[in-house]
Amino acid sequence: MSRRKFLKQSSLLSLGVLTTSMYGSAFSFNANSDVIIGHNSHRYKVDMAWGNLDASKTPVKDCHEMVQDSKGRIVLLTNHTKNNVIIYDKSGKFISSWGTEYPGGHGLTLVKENGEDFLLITDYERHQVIKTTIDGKVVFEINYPADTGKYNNKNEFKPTETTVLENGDFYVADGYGNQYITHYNHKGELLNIFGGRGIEDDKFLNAHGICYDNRDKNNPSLLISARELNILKRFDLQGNYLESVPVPGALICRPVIHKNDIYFAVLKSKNAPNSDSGFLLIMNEKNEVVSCPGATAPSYANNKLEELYQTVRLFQHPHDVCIDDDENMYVAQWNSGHTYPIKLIRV
Amino acid sequence: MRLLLVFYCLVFFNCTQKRSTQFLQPNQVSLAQPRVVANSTLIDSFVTIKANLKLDDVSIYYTSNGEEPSRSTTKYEHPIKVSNPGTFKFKAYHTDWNPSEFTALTLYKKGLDADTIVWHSKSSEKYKGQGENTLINQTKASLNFSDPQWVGFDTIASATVSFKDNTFVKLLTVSYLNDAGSWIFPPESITVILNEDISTKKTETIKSLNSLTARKMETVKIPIEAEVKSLRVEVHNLQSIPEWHEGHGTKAWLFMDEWILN
Repeated sequence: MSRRKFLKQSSLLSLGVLTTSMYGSAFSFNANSDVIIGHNSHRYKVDMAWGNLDASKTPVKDCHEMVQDSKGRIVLLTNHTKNNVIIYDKSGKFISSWGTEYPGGHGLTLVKENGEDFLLITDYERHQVIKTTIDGKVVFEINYPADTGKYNNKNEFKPTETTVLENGDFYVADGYGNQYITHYNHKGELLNIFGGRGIEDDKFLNAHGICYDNRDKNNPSLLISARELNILKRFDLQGNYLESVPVPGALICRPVIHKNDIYFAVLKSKNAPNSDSGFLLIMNEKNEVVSCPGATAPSYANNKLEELYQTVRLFQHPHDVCIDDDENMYVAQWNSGHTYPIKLIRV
Repeated sequence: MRLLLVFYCLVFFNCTQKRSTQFLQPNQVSLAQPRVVANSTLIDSFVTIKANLKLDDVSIYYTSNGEEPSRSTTKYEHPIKVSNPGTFKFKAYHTDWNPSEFTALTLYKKGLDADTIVWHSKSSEKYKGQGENTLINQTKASLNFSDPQWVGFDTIASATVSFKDNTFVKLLTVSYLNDAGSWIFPPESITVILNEDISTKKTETIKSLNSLTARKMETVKIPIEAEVKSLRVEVHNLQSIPEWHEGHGTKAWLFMDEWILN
């Protein structure tokens, strides 16, 4: 069921309940009946109407990723070429939009350089990584890493994500292509390549997301999701494999670090009968799963995380999360019937 | 949603109060389907079914007669021991959230052990199951198409199953995956020829899908009612995906996990 249809049906249903109750004596518009999702330290109320715009003017297709910029605005990347980038304020009010040339706009990363914001966009249809200013002027474009010998042609390069270090170096995850991670300096010159397709520790199936993890200042590293394998993998900055964090049942998209926690959109539950079986997942500073909004409460047996799965059909295919400076979360969804993001208010 | 807001506003605040954020209410969302697993879906003596939806305050109700479960059917309290074939349906209920769709699980009587299977067509290289005997190995697959108990075809699936001795076969059950979201469709038709005798040829046509549904396992039952030494079974994959599907016009995948002979 599409979200639109779902909302339509459920609105009617609510109306039914409401009407019935009006004839009773005890109906109260009780704020306590608001849905609260999530577990332990991370619980949220859900605002489905956040950011809804007139689809005839500012349409979305898949909402792929979101970031908050230095001004506190929420920046959304969609693969709709009428307006690939939509900028909102935190209340969901439209501020501006730009971009008509990113048919495969997928990965969105904020880069701060000398007090100025830039964006790194990956486009799997253009087979490129594009750096732009925050208002859409192209700074540079990076093509497939031909010199590495790992690619026969550009079509094998379908980058899904980037992440940036303090010195401006950045890494690109080729999650829909040949599964390599490429490392560039701030000018976009290739420094290293590692990973590749496979089930071995240092390889990936669907290296969908990558994130620079400097929570431990003395040992900064890279977190990379192997989505199809339901594993989060850690590498050092030189590309050496360090460890795996299994998340059974969860097709995790990119890791998003906010303060000491890691947040994920989970595209689907691995063994669910319905495809639109996504949820969200939050790990603490020890990389233990502490909350799964929309899914089973995380539990460990003999130090092993038990399979996670969707319990309520709230999210369809969550594809990215963005946590703002109020600790609230925005959820961008893939293949959800062209719906706008959902906002979660931390309680 | 917006309509609903306006309605709330009108009724309760006379529109004097400004709109504050309207948060999602539990009765706007359904539970996910309960997880149902059996240690086997082919019954030799008995099998055990377990149902679960790991969420506080959920109750699961079920039926074993094919009807849709409700709060007035049997409540699931502990694993169910089953010795007879049939379809079990489970549905989850909660005080706040809307009920789930039901999860159906069909149990079959374990089939006769065939001696050999000789293939006349080839399965896909990627989805070749556990080898040539996968469809007669008395093991069913899960709902996940990458489960190695599934054998995938993008063309006709044709093979001859033989017994050591003449054996009375009442029924052939062909079990397939319906997962149109993954371009895996029910077969178009199934033809059976007994003992290489063309005059025994019979064809069963399968109704085509009208819309996308949650993935499920389905079966076609073909009455045989004869002494046989061999059966030639030809399962035709859907030649043209219907108009409503993104893959319309192209051939569909056919995934089967078992041919059960009773």
